[in-house]
Amino acid sequence: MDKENLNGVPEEETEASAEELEQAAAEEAVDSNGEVAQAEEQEPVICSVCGHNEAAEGSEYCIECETAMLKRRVPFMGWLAGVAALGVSLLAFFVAIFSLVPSGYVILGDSYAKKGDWHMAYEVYYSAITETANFNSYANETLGTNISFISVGEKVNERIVDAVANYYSPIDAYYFAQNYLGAGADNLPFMQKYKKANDENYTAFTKMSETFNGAIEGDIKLDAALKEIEALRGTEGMNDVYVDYYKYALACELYEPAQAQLELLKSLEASAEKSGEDYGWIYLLPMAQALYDTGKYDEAIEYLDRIIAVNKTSFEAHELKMMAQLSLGDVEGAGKTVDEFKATGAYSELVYYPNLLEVEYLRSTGKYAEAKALCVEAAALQESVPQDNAMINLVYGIEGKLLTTSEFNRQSALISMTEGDYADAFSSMMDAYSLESQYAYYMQYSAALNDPKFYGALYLSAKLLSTSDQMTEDNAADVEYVLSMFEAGTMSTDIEAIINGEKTVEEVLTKGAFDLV
Amino acid sequence: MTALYIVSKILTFPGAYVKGFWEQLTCKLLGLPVEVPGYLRIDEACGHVEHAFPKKGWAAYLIATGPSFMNFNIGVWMFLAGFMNLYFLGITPNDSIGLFVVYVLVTYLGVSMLCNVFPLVEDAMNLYDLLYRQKKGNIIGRIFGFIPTVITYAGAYLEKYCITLVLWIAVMILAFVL
Repeated sequence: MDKENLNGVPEEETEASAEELEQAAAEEAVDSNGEVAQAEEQEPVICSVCGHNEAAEGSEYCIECETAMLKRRVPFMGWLAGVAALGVSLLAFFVAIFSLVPSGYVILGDSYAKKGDWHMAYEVYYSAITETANFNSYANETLGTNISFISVGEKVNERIVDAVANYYSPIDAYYFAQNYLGAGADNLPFMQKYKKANDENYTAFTKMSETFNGAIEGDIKLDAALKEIEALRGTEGMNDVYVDYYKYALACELYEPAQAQLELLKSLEASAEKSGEDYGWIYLLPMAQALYDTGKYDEAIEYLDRIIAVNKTSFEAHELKMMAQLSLGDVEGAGKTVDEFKATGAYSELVYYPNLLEVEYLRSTGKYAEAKALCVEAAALQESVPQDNAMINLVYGIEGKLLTTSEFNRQSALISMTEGDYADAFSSMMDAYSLESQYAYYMQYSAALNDPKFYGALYLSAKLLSTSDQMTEDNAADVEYVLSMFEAGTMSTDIEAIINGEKTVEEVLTKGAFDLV
Repeated sequence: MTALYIVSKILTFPGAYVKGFWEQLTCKLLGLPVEVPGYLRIDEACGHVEHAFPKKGWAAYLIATGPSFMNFNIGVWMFLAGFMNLYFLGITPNDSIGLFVVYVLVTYLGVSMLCNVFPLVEDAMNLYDLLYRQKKGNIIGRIFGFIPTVITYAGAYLEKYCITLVLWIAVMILAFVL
């Protein structure tokens, strides 16, 4: 070290001190030993700072330099930086602690998403938002402030919308985001892919709506309608996938046979694969359903496994897989499918889905008492599900709550019909009908009321009760009302066969289609 | 290599400056003379203060790990606060530009502190020499101090060759870019 480095020690003072130090050291050496001994034999150590004075014993520095260095103050800027760092760190500590729980939920949600457990991922991401809101509310209440101490940002909203897209579809995710994020949702970068999906679907439907509706109302024959839709292929803004999808959708609406639907779905699959984009959400489940309906159970299971691989909480895929396995006589495999699905759901409205699947499994395998007990338990659990913390409710509004309960009532009715308790079956179906009517009142539409499984069960329960000795004055009016809603002979083959005494309810529900399709 | 080291210290100057402050304060507490007090000098000791080597084991331990402890504890909370809000809670400029800037700044400050955790290699060597070659200090202290000493020794080399900064940059790129 040279002298320049000795900040704050005057040069003159250093030189004077060095002379004094040398003299004192020489005197000390002579006085202590009576002779000039070792000091003369060894090279004197020079202070590494001033470079002039001899270093003090056991030190690299001379006394003056060392004294000056020890007296050197910590600069004001150093104190300022240190204290500021401590202050910022203290604030950061609190922010980090408060962010820990919501961040934990996001990490947990990411782990579910990675496994394809989109339903749980959604639930957990949503918990991050709830926790953040709870914390801000508590902190503001305690401190008397109105500040958003921590907040959940766009990336979490993106994760939530992605979870909805993966669980339902990109189009559902688009409409969900409109409700959840408000008017500005369209401008967010992550929304562009969902906006594109919705725009493509909207464009396609707008262009073919006249043909589509005309065919449904009977003004245009199916073949002509399909040709008109086909003619739209390649026109501006038209995606081939949606051309094929709407051809299939029209065939479905017109109750075309499953084989015809299957052919259209094969075209849809080819278009989807040609596009290079992931359109699995639009055709995999319908394809599996069509294969199931045409008795190709093994192929149906292959498609269902593709859905389950990316969406472990898909109820529809697990339900159809279980039914396909039962149709193949693989009761053990069906039970395993139920168990796998049950393992994915831990709370919230998932108590409904796994239980429903188990009810269907138990009912289809003839374990009626267990199935019925589970129906009662599941319906009670479903009542306790909070309305505002359930994805199905957020996506479909009030539908989730009403429909889930109504489905348990329908399942209960099917079990009662199998056991010959038609009064109880009719009562359960009337409860289900009441819930569906409520839903239709709110939404101006109810899918279940138009579902052959639902209205078939309602009609069959009324018909079986009306021809039994279980009719009472209390239920006679309701039975008459229900029967008057339907024309005789318009029900499915299985229902007509039961009414005509060609099949028993048990045969249809445990050995046939496992439901009133 | 010194140039790279100096660049890394300049890039993380808040942490380097605060580390220098803690070192000088520790020297003051231990009665160690500080030769060169500048915290951000353009030489191989940038971000540190040049001081006399302590002669006792515990003093060597304290001068090597004390400032590190302070910078680590300050930095880790800053980093967590910023990183959790940016990465997990996903704050973006679309949510709030002010909040986004604050969290980016806090993350940078945290990383700058964590990039300036380890002492100079000379201090780490002196610590190892006193405790495990000259066997100064009691046996219990030396046993418990072994792992921190090894970490400090290794960390001092990582920091000398800017590897800590490179690792942090890699983490940030993995988290926010890829």
